[in-house]
Amino acid sequence: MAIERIKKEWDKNKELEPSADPNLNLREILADKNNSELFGTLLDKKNENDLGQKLVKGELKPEDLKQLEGYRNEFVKILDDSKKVNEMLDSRVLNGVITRSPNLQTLNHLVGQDGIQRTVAKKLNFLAIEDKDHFDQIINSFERVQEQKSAEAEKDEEIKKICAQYSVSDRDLGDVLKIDDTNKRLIQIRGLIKKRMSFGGLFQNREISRRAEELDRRDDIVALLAEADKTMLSLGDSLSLSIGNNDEVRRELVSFLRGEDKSKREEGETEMSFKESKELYLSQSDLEAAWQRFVGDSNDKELVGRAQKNDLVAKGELQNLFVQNYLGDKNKKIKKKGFWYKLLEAFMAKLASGFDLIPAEPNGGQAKSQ
Amino acid sequence: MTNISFSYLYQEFVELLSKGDENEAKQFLVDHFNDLPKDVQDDIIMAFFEEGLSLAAIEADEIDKFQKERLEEVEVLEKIKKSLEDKIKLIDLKKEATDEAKE
Repeated sequence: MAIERIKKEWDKNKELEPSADPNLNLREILADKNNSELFGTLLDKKNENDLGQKLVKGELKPEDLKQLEGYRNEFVKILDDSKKVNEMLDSRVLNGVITRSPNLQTLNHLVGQDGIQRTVAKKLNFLAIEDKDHFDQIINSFERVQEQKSAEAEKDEEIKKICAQYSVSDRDLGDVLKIDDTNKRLIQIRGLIKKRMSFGGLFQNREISRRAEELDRRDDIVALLAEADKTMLSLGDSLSLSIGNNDEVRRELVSFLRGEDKSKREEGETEMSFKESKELYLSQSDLEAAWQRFVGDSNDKELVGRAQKNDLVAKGELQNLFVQNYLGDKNKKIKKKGFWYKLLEAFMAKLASGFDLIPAEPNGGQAKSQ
Repeated sequence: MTNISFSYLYQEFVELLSKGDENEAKQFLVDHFNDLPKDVQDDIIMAFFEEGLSLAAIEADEIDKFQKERLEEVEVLEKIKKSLEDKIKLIDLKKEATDEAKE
């Protein structure tokens, strides 16, 4: 149906927070343009194409409203998800995400934090309907970040207290952070992290504990106590790297903790890599030829027929199907759409939206491609 | 959006994919952001956002795990230290008692 069209309509509207009041009746829900468009997407997902089109075109009749009422509960749940998304996209979390990506920082300068927030909220609201698993994954990431941010202040205080108690000095870190040259500064930070992370952990603790049991001479115990203090200083040294006041140091610490390979993927993840995306793209002319073949071979003659009669909704649907089929066929092994998959999909969909259809022949057949 | 045609930008983009430099391809998306149609711009924002969110979530998990582990070690070490200090106190008390008995 008309997902693309609905999205375009949505773009024209700046108010993006759908109302999630569960007490609203269907007529009230549909009076809100954004809700109405989201509802259209839900109907699309449910293959209620006719109903969806009537909704988009504003041609609903009383009997249609009765039918729509059947989807009301599900839709109210979607509105709740939307509300949750908008609450999660608070400036603290948004800032945390923007600082993780230099490219997003540049986009932030171009469209502003409000622009990013609006776009992400809009995308997530549709994703909740179109791909619930993916939506849930994103919400899960949000929750992990939010949870960490909420506990951050308390943990930082605890660590600062330990550092003060054992006189952990931040002078060397302070000196490193003053270095203007980013590359030089990062090299120094990495060196400092390596040095501070040399603590032997629980093994060292167990060793001290074992010896503490055995010793009975005062001098030996005092010496071991001094060693324990030294270990505590090492622990404070390493913990101080993790407090939330320096993103650069924390990022490098995480890299250190995850191992040297920054591109290391999470276990079980089968996201398309940049290298793999190389096998997917087509030149404009090849993509157009693939499009004409797709239309010619399509089993959905009714949809093709409507598209050939210049029904923009049908044409949009056919183009989306084409891109999804093309990328899907090429990527049977891929379970998770990644960064490059999604962008190729976006570029191909946009390009395909400009492709013409060979008009239907008067006898209902399709003219041969030249 | 500027007047650079989308098919030209598409061609440039796929050429960068073919060239194989990921950072350059990302830079292209940012450099030509304003030349691209609104729906593609939105997809770019969302893709970069998801990438940043995923990094932030991984960082949150790693930092949380690291701090928990190390703070537990601090706790264990504090207990060991306390037991060592108690041992010293006991030795000193015994010595004091012995000295007093001698006197």
